[in-house]
Amino acid sequence: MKKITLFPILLLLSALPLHAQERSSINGYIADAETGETLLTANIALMEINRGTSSNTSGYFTITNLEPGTYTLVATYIGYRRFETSITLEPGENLRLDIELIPESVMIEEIVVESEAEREEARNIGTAQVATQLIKELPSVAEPDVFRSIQLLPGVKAASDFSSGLYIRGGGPDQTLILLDETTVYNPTHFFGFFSTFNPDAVKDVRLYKGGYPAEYGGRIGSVLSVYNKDGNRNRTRGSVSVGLLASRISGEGPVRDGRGSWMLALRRSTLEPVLSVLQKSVDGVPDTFYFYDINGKVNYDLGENDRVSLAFYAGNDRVKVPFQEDALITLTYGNQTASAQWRRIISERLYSFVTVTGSRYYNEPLIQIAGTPIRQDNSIYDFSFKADLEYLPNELHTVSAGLWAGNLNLRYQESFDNLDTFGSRISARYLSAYLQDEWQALPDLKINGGVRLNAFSEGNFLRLEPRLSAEYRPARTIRLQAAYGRYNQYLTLVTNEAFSGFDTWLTSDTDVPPAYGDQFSLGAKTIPFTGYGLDIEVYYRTMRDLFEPDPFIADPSGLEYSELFRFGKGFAYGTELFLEKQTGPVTGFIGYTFSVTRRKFPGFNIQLLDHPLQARYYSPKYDRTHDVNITGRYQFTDRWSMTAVFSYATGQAYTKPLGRTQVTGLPWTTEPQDLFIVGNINSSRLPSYHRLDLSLSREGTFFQLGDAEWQFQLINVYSRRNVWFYTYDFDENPIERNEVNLLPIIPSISYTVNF
Amino acid sequence: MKKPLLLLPLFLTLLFATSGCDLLDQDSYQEYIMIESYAYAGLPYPDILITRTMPADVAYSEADAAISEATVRLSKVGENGETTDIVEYIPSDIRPGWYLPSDPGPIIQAEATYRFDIDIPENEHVRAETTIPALIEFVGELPAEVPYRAEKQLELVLNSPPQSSTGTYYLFNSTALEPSMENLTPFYLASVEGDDETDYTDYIVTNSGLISENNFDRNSDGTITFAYPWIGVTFYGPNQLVAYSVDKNTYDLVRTQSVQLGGSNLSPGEIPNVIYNVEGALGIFGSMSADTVYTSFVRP
Repeated sequence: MKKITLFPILLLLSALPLHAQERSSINGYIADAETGETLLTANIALMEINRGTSSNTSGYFTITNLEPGTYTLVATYIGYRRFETSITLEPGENLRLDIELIPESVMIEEIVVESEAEREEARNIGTAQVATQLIKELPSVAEPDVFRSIQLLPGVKAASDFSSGLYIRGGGPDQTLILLDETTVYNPTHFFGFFSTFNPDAVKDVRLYKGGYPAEYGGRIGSVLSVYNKDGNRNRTRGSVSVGLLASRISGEGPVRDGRGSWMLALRRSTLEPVLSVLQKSVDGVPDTFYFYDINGKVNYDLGENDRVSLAFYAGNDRVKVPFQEDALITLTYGNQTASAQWRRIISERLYSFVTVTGSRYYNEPLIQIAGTPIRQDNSIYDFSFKADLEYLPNELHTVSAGLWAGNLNLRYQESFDNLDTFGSRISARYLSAYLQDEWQALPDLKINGGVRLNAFSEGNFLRLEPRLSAEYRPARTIRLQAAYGRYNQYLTLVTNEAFSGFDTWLTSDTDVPPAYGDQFSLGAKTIPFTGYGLDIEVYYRTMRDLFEPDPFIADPSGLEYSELFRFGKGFAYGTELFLEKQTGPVTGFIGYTFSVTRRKFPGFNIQLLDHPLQARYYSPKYDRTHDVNITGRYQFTDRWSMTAVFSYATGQAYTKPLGRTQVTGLPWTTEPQDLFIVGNINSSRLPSYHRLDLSLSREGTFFQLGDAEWQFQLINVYSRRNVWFYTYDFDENPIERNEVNLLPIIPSISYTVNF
Repeated sequence: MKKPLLLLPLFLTLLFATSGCDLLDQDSYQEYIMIESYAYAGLPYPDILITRTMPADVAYSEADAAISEATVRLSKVGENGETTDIVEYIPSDIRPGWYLPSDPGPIIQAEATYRFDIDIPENEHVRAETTIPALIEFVGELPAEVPYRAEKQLELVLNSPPQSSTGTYYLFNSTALEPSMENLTPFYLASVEGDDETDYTDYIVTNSGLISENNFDRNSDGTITFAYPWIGVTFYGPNQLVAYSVDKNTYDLVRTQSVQLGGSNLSPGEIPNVIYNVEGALGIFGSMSADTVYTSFVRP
């Protein structure tokens, strides 16, 4: 243990600047020449000395400890023309060079540069990146969806066609920290989980840390999804309108004060009202009200050459009101609001800082009124935090990062029946985490990233230390061998229904409710087997301990201590992921394959009948799929026409097969016998395998010379495979009749988008 | 360029190695003995039903599942484990699987513990115990008529002493005494009219589900007041209202059976077994105290 905690200190000691007074450096921002949008993980290199770096999440780069002299600087980024210039560095000079890359609208292999830096960032161990263009091109049932796109990656699974929840490397949706512009989003769904809240018009960058993530992140035992919204166009005012069957979008962006800043605003709203009004005339149970909307906005401004500030906000809301029967009404409102203010400062050529203040609110307020009896459940979270991060480059061998994240989390949960409060919990917790990490180029072929993260949580007075370590070795130019280890803690748990996220409820650790924690181990090999192809293999194993989740057998929580609401268990997951990507040419795409095993165990659950009640056995969660393949391909027929296809195949999900049955007949408050199942090993049977083919055909054109336009014709589940979601059992039939509940049938959709 | 391809065998080896580990096997069907009996404070010893479980895909009938060759004995268990008031049971002549007390004299006493001992040829000994909840009773007179959806709800005042380490759980049950389509309250009428498979008789007997005593503040005299929710009124006209205080065995069976039917946060299709508190068999020896009142819900 001592060795582990001393490791970062040793790294820091070795990271002291060398001969700084004689050396020069270069730093600056790298951005899109057309829009001024900063480019994340762009590649910047000095050709003569084979030194390079990549821009950070603010688009900032720095190369320090350079011999004075003349160099050829090259900057590259996927989809942009190569930037090349000659620079001369005087002794001790810190050259500020802001770079603008020119986007290539036509994807011609010879011109468009494939940025190795971006490829490499995306291919760090456990890391994946999804291009926003891909999100828009993929066939989607309702709206282009960030989460649905991520679900195609190896290691990521979907619970069902109806759920956009991310089940990553054996973890449920609550094990993934979801950040929008550094702000936690607690329920990033619309339509009760059908698709995610992130508007593709507003999104600039999506990066997923599937596991083994570094010390700069924390708070979840599984993974991290970080979404960055666009900053806005610094050069000219632009806009986009998209009309779809389910929802429509409008967005705009433009410069502030002659390009010293920018703004971006994107709105999306469902457009179901005309359909609903027609249906209401002929069909019972059609909602009176059924809509969602979301607004994303951002303003950036450069206070000076070294200071940039930004304000970002998001607001999303879903509301449904269904008079489902005479004297019966369901009203559900849920949504998220986030806001963040960030100040990015170049303190020196070696030191870059981010200071961020965030606020996040989540609420869900279902109300059911039946025959004059209201049944209510309210859950709200108010999370206000302060973040400060520093990036320090003492020399060419080290990048040291440190930061802290402190906040206050107010969580309220209230249940009532017939205006009588049946359960209530109000928790106000303060949290603090701090990290220190160093990325150390130990040898020309060996890079080590080590760090620690310290977490404190006031409710229950928990203090946890999390060591993180990863290493990468390059035995050849086209091969990268990687390994990572990390410990992670989580103070929150999510009560969710994979069929319906509108009731999602968060609960926290507290006295006698310790945080869940786990260790993650992963090994990876990232290769380039042929030019234009990438082949990645990763193997992972992770543990999950002190998992806490509401005890499903609690009939009435009234009067229970908070800790009595939960059951505490453990689990593990392991798997192998394969990712083969074709990156260039008229046909591009990828194949993702995952073999995975996930198991969980809770005391008294999945016991053998007549056995000791605490001798629980491991079981598979429903979302566990042994084999999972996704094949995504895009073919550009002509300049105007392109087609995208996605084929998915997966082992059927786990379910519990009833083995036997019996009845109880004497309960005095029922007239009918009550049927009881006798089951064996829970979830040890498998539904039929899942497969589906989706197609999208796009035609690009112009809209009355006012702007570019695109038609999208999509077909979901082309051959209408009736995939099974779960089985129900009809006890009115004797013998019991098993019925299938199916997933989506074939669904066509069409949308039209105009960019002006 | 060929080196990366050398990793494929490594990948396949890892895949092969990991795919052989820890895949769960489905258990095969096993037959169990099932017992069912409920003791009521203040009433004679209860009957008991003894059956076998049956495969899930076979038509179930009580007669086919019945076990008629059991030896059954019910005893009152003292604080030190001594047994008194022992009554042997005899098989019913009319209903296979049912066993009746040979001596109808002893009365079940509130807060006492009782135990069934059952021997079935070629099966292990079966034992089940219950501790009878304390007596409960309604206090005061109910109004003879209650206007449906009146501003003031019907209030049931219950004298119920605190009891048991797990807390007291109640269940309220209504039985319509003049059920008819015409007497259905609006919500339930719409349910019947909107669903061909639902009949008005489905709503004659309804119950509240388990309710913890912690939902209620005790009145100054130690009683609790239960505001009868309008959702529990299915028919206009006279209704019988019963309050039950249930023992742990009944509580466990009811709450876990509802989870089997999907009433929880478990994923659809994830079905746990019911919790049975019986040694050597499945089933329930439950107990309860109850009291009954009557009122009539009149149209507003």
